[in-house]
Amino acid sequence: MRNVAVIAWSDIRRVLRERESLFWLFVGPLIFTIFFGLLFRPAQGR
Amino acid sequence: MPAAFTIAAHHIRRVIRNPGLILLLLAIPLTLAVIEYAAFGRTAAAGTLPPATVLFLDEDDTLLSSALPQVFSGGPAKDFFELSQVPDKAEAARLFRRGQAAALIVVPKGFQNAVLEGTRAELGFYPNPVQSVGPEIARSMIEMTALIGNGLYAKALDPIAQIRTLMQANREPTADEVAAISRGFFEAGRRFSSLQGLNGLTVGVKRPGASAVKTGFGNEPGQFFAYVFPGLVVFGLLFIAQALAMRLMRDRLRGLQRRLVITPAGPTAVIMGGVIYTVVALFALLIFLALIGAVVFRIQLRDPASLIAIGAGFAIFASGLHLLSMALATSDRGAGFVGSVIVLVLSLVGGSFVPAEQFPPFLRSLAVLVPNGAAQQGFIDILVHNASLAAVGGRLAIVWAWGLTVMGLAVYFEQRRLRS
Repeated sequence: MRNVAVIAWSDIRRVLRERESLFWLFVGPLIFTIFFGLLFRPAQGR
Repeated sequence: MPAAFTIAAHHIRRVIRNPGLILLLLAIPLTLAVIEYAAFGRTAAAGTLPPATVLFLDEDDTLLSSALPQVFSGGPAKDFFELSQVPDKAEAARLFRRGQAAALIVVPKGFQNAVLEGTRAELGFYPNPVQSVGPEIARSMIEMTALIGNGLYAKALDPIAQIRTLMQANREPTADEVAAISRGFFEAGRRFSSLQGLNGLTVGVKRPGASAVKTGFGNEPGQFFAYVFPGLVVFGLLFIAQALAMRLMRDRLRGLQRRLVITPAGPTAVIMGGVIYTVVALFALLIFLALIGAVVFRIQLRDPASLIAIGAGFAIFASGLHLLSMALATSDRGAGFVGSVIVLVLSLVGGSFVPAEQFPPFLRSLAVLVPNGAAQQGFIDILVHNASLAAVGGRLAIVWAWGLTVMGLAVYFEQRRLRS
């Protein structure tokens, strides 16, 4: 079981070193959130 | 130059022999169009919002509370909701969780007594917290009905007072008293009858010309698709262009490009072969998607010359964008990543996911300045609004300016890389 955990942790570290992963995990959602937040924010003065 | 065409034809033949990924990417706009039609098409065709389901819980269980559902479902907003009675709040919570109801109206115990005694009588309103549009419709409906109810109540104070007196005396009413109460309600109804005009309210709309019999883009599926399909095609083509350009990148990484460059054809022919291959393939796929749109989705392809002009400009832009990222990248993964991010941002800003018409003003003006947004809006202007080539000239200029600039940069950086 310990070996499985070591391999999994190694895989996760390798994935998190990639620019693509970092973008789609952290930057992409932020872009989507800001964009759709701007788009669908409640109208002022209601 | 003939060598460039030979190289381009060779690239295209390889794509035709192995078209798996391109066919898969072609399915994206078609599938999304069908899903969007299934989700919004019927609503758009009906020209009205789908009715919201409003739950009704009668805890008072009196003559007045049992009459309330008819008041709600017969009022001026009756087309906007469906009333469904529930036995208790647990059942209402279950329907809320399943998303099957927009709101709950509760008539609390003692409602009829409060009305007859002239004290504050309240209805409970519980909006479904996981929905947004339906509860607002229900709220408007109950506010409107309560307003009318309060007006009617104010006109019928005398007969209500008579009923209250009878109930407090705890005796059977005489025939004269029943007649007096009935007359009181009749008089109240007559004083209030001017509001009955609300039920028969109609607004006449006169439209000039042939469009007089049609209202809104949703009356025909063809018009619905003419509105949504161009954006999806533009979005799909950006990814298809990436897949086409990626084949050139893999040729480069495998050394095929280097071997071609040292032949008598030379680097310019190799670069132009790649340019012709991506632009021609992309333009052919655009024509194919347009024909699918015409045959399957019944889109009327108005003004083919204008459509071709915008389509050719966009094919040059999409090809140039990914050729540029390939020219600057050192690996196919890097090029793919950069290309995907640019496509994502362009698609968001250009209105591929949400129509630019729904954007706030500053984003709307930005949407038509990016090439995919300008191409999409140009297609919509022609297909939906029947605009002429002159009318879409601004959008055409934006698409071609972006296309030629990006393609010029791609050729320049690729030449520089091959010479180094």
